[in-house]
Amino acid sequence: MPENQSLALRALRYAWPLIVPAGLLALLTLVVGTGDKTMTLVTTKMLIFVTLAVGVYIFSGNSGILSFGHMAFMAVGAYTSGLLTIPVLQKAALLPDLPGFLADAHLSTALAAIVGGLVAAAFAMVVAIPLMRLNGIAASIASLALLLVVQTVISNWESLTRGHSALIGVPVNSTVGNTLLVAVLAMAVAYVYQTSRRGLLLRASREDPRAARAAGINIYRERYLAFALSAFVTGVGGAMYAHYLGVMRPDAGFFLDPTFMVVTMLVVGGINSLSGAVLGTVVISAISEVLRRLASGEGGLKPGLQTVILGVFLLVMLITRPSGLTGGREVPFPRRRRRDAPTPGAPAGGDLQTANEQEAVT
Amino acid sequence: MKLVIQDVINAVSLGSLYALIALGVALLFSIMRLANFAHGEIIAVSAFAMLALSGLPVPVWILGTLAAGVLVALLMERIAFRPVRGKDMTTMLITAFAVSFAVKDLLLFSQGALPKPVRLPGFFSGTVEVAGLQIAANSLVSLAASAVLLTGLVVFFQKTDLGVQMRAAADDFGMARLLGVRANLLIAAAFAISGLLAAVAAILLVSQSGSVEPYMGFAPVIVGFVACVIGGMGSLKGAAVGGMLLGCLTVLLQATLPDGLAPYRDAFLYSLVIAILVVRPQGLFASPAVVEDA
Amino acid sequence: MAPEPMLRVRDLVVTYGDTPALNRISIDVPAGTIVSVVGPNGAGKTTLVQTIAGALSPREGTIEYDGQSIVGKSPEGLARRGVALVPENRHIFGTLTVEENLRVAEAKNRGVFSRQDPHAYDEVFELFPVLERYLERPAARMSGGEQQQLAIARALLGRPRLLMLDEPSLGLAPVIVDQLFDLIETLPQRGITVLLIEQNASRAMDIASHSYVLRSGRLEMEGTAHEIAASGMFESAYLGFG
Repeated sequence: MPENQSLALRALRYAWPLIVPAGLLALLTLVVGTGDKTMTLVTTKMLIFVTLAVGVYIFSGNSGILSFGHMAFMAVGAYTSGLLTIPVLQKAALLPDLPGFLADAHLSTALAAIVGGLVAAAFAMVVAIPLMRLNGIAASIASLALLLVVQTVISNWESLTRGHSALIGVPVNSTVGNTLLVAVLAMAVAYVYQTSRRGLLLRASREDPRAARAAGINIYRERYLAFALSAFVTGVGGAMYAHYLGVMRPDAGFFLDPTFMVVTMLVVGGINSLSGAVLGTVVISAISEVLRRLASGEGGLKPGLQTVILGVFLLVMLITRPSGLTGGREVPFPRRRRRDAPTPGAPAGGDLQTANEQEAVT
Repeated sequence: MKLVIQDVINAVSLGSLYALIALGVALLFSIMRLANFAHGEIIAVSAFAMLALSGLPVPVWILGTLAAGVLVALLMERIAFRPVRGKDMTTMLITAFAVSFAVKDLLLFSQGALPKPVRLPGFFSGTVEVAGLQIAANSLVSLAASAVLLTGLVVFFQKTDLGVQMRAAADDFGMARLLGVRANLLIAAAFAISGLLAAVAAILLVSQSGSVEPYMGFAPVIVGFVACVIGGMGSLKGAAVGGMLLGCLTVLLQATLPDGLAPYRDAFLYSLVIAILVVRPQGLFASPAVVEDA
Repeated sequence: MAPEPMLRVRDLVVTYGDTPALNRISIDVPAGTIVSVVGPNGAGKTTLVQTIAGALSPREGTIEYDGQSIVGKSPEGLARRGVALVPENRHIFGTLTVEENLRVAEAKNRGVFSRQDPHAYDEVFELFPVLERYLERPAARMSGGEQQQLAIARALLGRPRLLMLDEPSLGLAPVIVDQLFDLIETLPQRGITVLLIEQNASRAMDIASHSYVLRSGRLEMEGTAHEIAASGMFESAYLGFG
């Protein structure tokens, strides 16, 4: 690593795998999302899902453990932020039994979103105590159980959430601008984490848990940290989602549809890289939008079969290119002909076979 | 006293239902390392088949529902799971995930999101007098069906050639093939059995709830998965015990939770489960073929 | 004119990713003989028999059994054609009993709903009386030597014409090894051709009519035990215990 490289160049080199996707995302947003109302909405939703996907990626991509239930944190963030931003009078009418401090609270969206993220993270830190001790597939299953638990609680805690009824009145102020900002911030958080020492330790454990443990890495602790951080980001994404929907109902669709979308986005993009999370979100959002337009009469496609087609797409990806479009790699810094040091942020290895399977070799 | 007897019967009845669901999941996992998240959708499709057949004579709709479960399972195997056979567990789990959502979407599309009531034959309702006590007919039917099925499974796995071969494949698939066990046939048979178990579970579930809806597979498949985790991934015995344990815990919670907290039963159940897993993350009967890293 | 060998392997190339495990291997196994393949650890001996048995796919090369190509055939298909492999480390089904282990192998000889012949196990009980004694015992609870007998019994139940044994003497006491090699020597008389993989080179080459020496995926030399001994390779340290 040549010492004469200026500080600026070194910084650029470090941040390159972050700058490129973020920049491209901003560019895409500018081109596509500032047109008519429909495209604005579509782009806003896509940017929210970038945040959600990046949130899940922070944990699953780095640890190799698929958390299928991560939308539990999205829901926690969404409901928290919603409760804190519904105009006080309307809130009193909807939820007469709210405890005092919640009934009176009214925060700005930005603050509410952050609180949403924090509450999600706090919840995650409790749940992670047992969860991080489980091995790969058991942890994935336990995360699904977590999703069910959160759904049960939200659906039944009528005084807090209106139970099965819709929670209305959440201010719809997720714009292209603020969701882009949140998405880029989420990406920055993810990038700083994955290139930090803690992130690298976790990635090492993903590749070879036994070797990592032998090297003295405390896998439990590293997973715990990633889980909490990812819950925060996912929670903030959930808050933005609430401010996009304006209305929330804790039915199966609210939990399961984003779960499917995010998993598909991560797998298609490449679950082991940040660029993969972003690329996957963009690609799947684009395909969804095309399907939606075809369904609404411009083509012969019956409405509602989106998931089936996306499911087929996901299946094809899994068979032909399980490591996703990016193959688990980040964007490489442009190289000159001389041999450079490896680009920062580029992870070792990149397919789905990770800490989830530790089979005795036959 | 009467109340307690009914509770015990409910516990065993629900426990055996959960055991059936768990076994359907565990069978495929033990043989192929496939955690079939779409098992819930086999249950859902079977339930909708039951709806479609509900006017017909009892033997017809029973057989039809069972056939639907087996057929859906075999189709899933042929179309979605065969191409990813032999790949790592994560890929297969995501495949199951994709299948699950695709089927759910098809159900939503064709049936709509609202629950539809199912007319059940008479023997499911009312009470039966046993030894001077009035027991809910539903629980007894459920218990009887589960007992018959579980016994049948034990006989199958211990006594029949195919059953022994399946256990051998669960132990070491590669070696079983080297001894002449036909992989395609065995896997198809495993899916068929799994589908059968799902269909029976569907009938018993619908007899309790009285209705069907497209998302109905989600909660049962979670039960099945969690039961497998408690019992030890890869162990059939563990899955059955795990299911029975979850069933008993559920009934226990239902009986002891104060009225205000009763709707949160499932939340308590899974919190308890997670607590159990803190103490023993590998489950009760950890299978030797799958080494955990925790 | 010598008849076609039962097994003919030509220019076999097998790779793990980009690493070649077998590099242009050619061997012949004439019917009714014992052929041994020896060499140090990592030479590719296991890869060779696993590929012949259908568990691995070669990148290049041909494998002919009874004059027909068997590359790409499934392991179970080959087992049903009489190609049997007893892999390294035996791979008995630990969670099944001895009887169940045998049954898995024996079931392939008959139809799906047929009953088992009451004398199905007579031959293997004659060879391995200990199996009859421990019929109901979980296979995992037998000693190494007993498990090896079970593994071979299983393979024999499949009525193989070509039996491949991968390191059968591994981890066994010398007395047991003696009995084992005595048994292997009698197999051609029972109509079974043997391909024997061994690190215990001297014993393997003694009972074999022809031997191949493998090293790092390549064929170093072949011949009778005398020819190989005379070439001086026998003394080389890497052949291990003499």
